[in-house]
Order: sequence, then structure tokens, then C-alpha cells
Amino acid sequence: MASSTKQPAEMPRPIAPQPSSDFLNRGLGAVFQFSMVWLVLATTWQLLGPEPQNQVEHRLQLMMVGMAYIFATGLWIVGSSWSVKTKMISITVCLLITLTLAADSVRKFDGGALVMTPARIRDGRIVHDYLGLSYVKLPDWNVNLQPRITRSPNPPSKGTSKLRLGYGEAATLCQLSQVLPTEKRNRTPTLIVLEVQRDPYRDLNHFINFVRTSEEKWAAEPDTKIVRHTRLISIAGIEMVEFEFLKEAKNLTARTVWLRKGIFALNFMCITPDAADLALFDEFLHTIQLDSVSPSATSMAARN
Amino acid sequence: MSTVLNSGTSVPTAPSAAPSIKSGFIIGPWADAILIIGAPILALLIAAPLYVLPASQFDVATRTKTLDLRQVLITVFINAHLFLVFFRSHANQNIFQLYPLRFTVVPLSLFLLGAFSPAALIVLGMATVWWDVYHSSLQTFGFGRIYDAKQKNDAQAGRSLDYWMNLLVYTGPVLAGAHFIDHLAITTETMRHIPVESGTLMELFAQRTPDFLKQHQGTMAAIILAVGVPFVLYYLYSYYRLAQQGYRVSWQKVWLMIITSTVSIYCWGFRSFIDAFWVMNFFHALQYFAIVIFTEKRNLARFFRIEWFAYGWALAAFWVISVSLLYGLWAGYCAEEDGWSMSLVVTTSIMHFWYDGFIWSVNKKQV
Repeated sequence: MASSTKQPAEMPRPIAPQPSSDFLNRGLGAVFQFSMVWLVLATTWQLLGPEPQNQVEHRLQLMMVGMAYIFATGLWIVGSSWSVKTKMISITVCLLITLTLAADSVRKFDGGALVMTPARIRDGRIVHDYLGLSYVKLPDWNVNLQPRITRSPNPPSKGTSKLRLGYGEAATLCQLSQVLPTEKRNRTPTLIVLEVQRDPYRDLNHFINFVRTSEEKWAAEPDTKIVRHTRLISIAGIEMVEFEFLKEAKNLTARTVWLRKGIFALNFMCITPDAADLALFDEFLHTIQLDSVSPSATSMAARN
Repeated sequence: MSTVLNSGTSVPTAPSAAPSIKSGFIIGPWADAILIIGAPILALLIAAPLYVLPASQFDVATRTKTLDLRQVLITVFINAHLFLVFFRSHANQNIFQLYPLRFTVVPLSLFLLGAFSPAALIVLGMATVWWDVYHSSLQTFGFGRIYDAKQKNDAQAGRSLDYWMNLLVYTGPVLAGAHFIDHLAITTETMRHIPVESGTLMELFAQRTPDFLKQHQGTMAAIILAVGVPFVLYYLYSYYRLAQQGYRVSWQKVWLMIITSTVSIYCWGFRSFIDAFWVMNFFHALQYFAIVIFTEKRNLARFFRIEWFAYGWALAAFWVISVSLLYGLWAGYCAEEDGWSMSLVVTTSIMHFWYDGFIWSVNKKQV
């Protein structure tokens, strides 16, 4: 207000537009249009294109989208009438958001491949290093630790062995099958299978409903009777969700137990013709460790 | 665009005893006839063949599952129109400067609340289902008021009548129709993430409400009919009286009301839920795209740094449509179910419903 009282007597002249400034703005505007073309094409590719199948494809896509965002937002901010300080802060924030999202995308994409790394056996336990998961190797049971995709909306073409778990897919990471004594060879052996899929659920309640949906699918199968509905349990201090069903025609009982680890949903399923083996499965579940040692696991390993 | 003021300030115009026909439109005769007034009929014409053909013809395989293309189209279009509000609220500096806190602090707070609190996200998600129905009815109300303003009528004349009439013709068929249960199912779908044994009174209330409403739907339909029919007669009589006192009837508004009401009653009352949902949401989103792009075209050209180009507004419109549709695709099918993504989607919906209540004010001559 003080400065307004000390104005010179002569009228201020209207400032003529600077031709060079106008040229610069138009030039910036034109470059911004190209960045928009790039942004729209890159985003369309990311959203509608096929899911990248290897790291090179994924990183290329990520770079194209990330750089498009940085260029488009950067050019828009530079061309705005904001103060230099605000522009600097805004560009930094955009850069940080883009890098954070890219890092998250890398973590999730690479996780799909790392989870398919075969587990190893150490000190009588099966260890999935990437998942930070281990459990006891049941003595006298056959073990198959070769991961394989068991369910996929887009089956791979013949001759390709897929080594990455994509969205909507499920893979078996471990299969334990009981070795039956000679006198019981005519019986179906008990199986314990560990299946993994991506967990897109933000909290436990969503996860419980996801398991409930799985229960509904089993219930819709012919000759299937749900004997224990979906419920939340705690085994060895780990929150799990389980349900149990009976395949009546084959006289098989199946107990399926779910837990979450990072970006994955893990499903331990026991299928047995002998309900007494469910007690063994229960003991097996008590040996599960997630990045920590549980006392029950140690005791069972000692007994074995 | 001479009939539409896209700035927050009003331009004084000479009062005219008989406004020209062109001044009675928001965009122009053809654009209004197709994109606003006739939009419900256009939606019906597009939807009719889509829902006559077998569903299997619309299956499209995506990365994770097979989807119905018709469903994909409407989901993307709905989400795109929700996002479009920001080109009015934030890209128009005259509007933005009126409510800077509402446009910055509120959405940011809501987004963070939803991202960190699953319970808050559930409540917000539930709110969007029914706020959407309310908001949709008020869009027709808003267009009606703009048409009235184009006839130089008093901004308050018949305002309450229009408000209740639009609520009745849009919400009434939803509440009284056979598809009310389906609407409740969407609410229940949102709520199924609440634990079976609810912990709080609020959650318990939310769980019990759909059952209570289901049981009393017949009574509710009877009440809506008993109130609705006399109200329509009262509405017509009241406008007759207003016309005698000098109110100029906008035939654009009359046709908008007739067409929207007829399509609303026909769809919610006589078509399948998914069909009705498609038609009602398609024309709603189409009208919104039309008004935002045409009223904001100068601002959009400026926003996309292309005001110096003769057809800059057309290129800007292309960017707006592209960016909005890409958001719609992401929100509908690509957003992960984590707190951050879901919160962003829900916050965008809530902001759209809320902002639309005050960024198109006829009283403040914003349109």
C-alpha cells in the first residue's frame, strides 16, 4: 500500500508483448503437445497392452511411461505462471511420485519371477527364500519343489515354460505326497500342496472375502459338501483363513488354509482319503515360519 | 459460445423482452438437441442393439479375466466423467479461486484418510453409491435451471419445484422399481468387507439397513406413488401460475424433463438392471462431457498451452477426452485394490458429486 502512494506522476505505459517471449511460449506449448502425445500413447500401452513377460520389456515400458509423465508434467509446470520456487517444488514432487510408483512397479513385477524360484531344503525344512517362508519337510513324504503355473487366464503357447507369476494366475510351489506302505498301495495318498497367487487385497477383511469366494466356487462343484465354512484362525501366531470340504463321490476330505505374505496369497491345501491325516496337517501348519522361528516348529522338527 | 460465460464474472447483457431462440440453448441448437436434451434417447438407441445380441458376442479377454465389452465401455465412461470435473474445478482459475481450500485441502485430506483407514474407505465407498443417484438427478435439475436462466427468468422462480421434481423422476423409479434390490446389492457388495460380527454401531447400522429396506420396499413404492402423482399435478399447476406472472417457459427445459422422466421410468421400471444402469449412466456422462468441453473450451485451450492456435480448443478437447478415458480405464480395471489406489478412485467420485453442487451456480452466474 505504501508503494502505491509514491507512484510517479506520469501514466504507466502499457507493456507491449515481447515477441521473443511469445515465440518461446508457443515453442514450449508445441513441445508440450508432443509430450502429451507421448503420454497418451505410453499410458495406453501400459493399460491396454499385453503384460510384459520379462524384465527388459517391463523396464522399457516403465521408462516410456515414467519419462512421459515427467516430461508432460515438467513442461506444463515450466509453462505456468507460478513462481520459480513453486515450480521447483512441484517438479520435485512429481519426480518423487513417479520414482516411487516406478519402484513399486519394479518390486511387484520382479516378485512375480522371484516367487517362482524353487525352494530348497535346509535342516529338515523347506525354505522359500524370497517369500521368507519355511515349514517342515515331512519325513518319508515325496517332495516336488519345481514351481509350475497351474491356473492362468492366458495359457502360454506350446513349447514355452513360463517362469513368472502374472496377475490372475496361480502356481504350485511345493507338493508333498505321502508314501504309502505296501499294504495301503490301493489307497489314494494324502497330498499337501502349496499354491501361490498375487494378493490384490488391501486388508484382512478383503482377504477373508476372497477366501469365502473360493469356498463358494468349491461349493458349486458337483458332489462337494462344505464341512467347515470360512473362518479366521491363528496358528503359530500367524493369522490364517481356512475352510474344509468333502468330495463325496471320491470320499476325499480337503482342508484349505490361506495366509498372506507381502504381495502374495499362499494357500496350503491338504487332500486326503483318511480324515486322521488332517491332524498331521494341523501339526504341519504349526511348523510354518514367516521370517521368525516358532517354538512349535522346532519341537516338531525335533520329533521328526 | 456466446451464450455461455465460462468465467466467474458476469458480463452485463441488455435485458430483452423476447430472447432469441439461440439464446435459449446452452451450447447451440444441434449440440443441445443431441448431447443434452436428446441424450437419454441417444443412450437408449445405442443400448438397444447392445442388449439384444447375446452376451457372448461382447466377451473380451484381458490380462486377468474375460470381460463383457458393454460393461467395460460404461465403466470406463462413468469413471472418465467423474474425473472430468477437475477440468472445471481446477483448470478454470475463476472457479478455482472461489474455493481454494475445497479444491486442495479437502481432496488431499480425504485421499489420505481413505488410504490409511480401511473403515473410512468403506464408509466413503458406500456414500458414493447413493450420492451418485442423488447427484444424477440434480444434473438434470442443473440443466433445467440453466435453461431457465437463458430465458432471463428469476434464478429462484420454480427452483424448489424443479429440485423436488427431478429428485422424484430420477430417484423415484429407482426406489419404487424392481431394481431397487439390485441397488441395495451394490451397497451390500461394498459393505461385505465389513467383518461379519460388526464392531461398531455404525457398521451394524450399515449392515442392517439393506435388510430393513428390502422388507419395506412395497410400502416405499406405494408412498412414492401416493406422493409423486399429486406432486406432478401440483408442479404443472405451479408453473402455469408462474407463467401467468411473467415466467417465460423454456421449451428446452420442458423437453429435457419429458425425455429424461420418460426414459428414467421406462429404464428402471421395464428394463433389466444392467440395461437401465447402462442407459442412465451413459446419457448422464455424455451430457457432462458436452457441458464441460463446450463451456470450458477456452480455459482448456489455455490449460493445455495451446490458446494461440486457431483450433487449440479442439486439440485441448481431445486431450481432455483422452486423459479422462485413460483415467476411467485405470480406475475401472487397472487400479490395484490397495488403499492408495482405491482411495484415489473414491475421492475422485466424492469430489465430483460434491463439486458439481457449487461449481455450476446459476445464482452466481457461473454458467
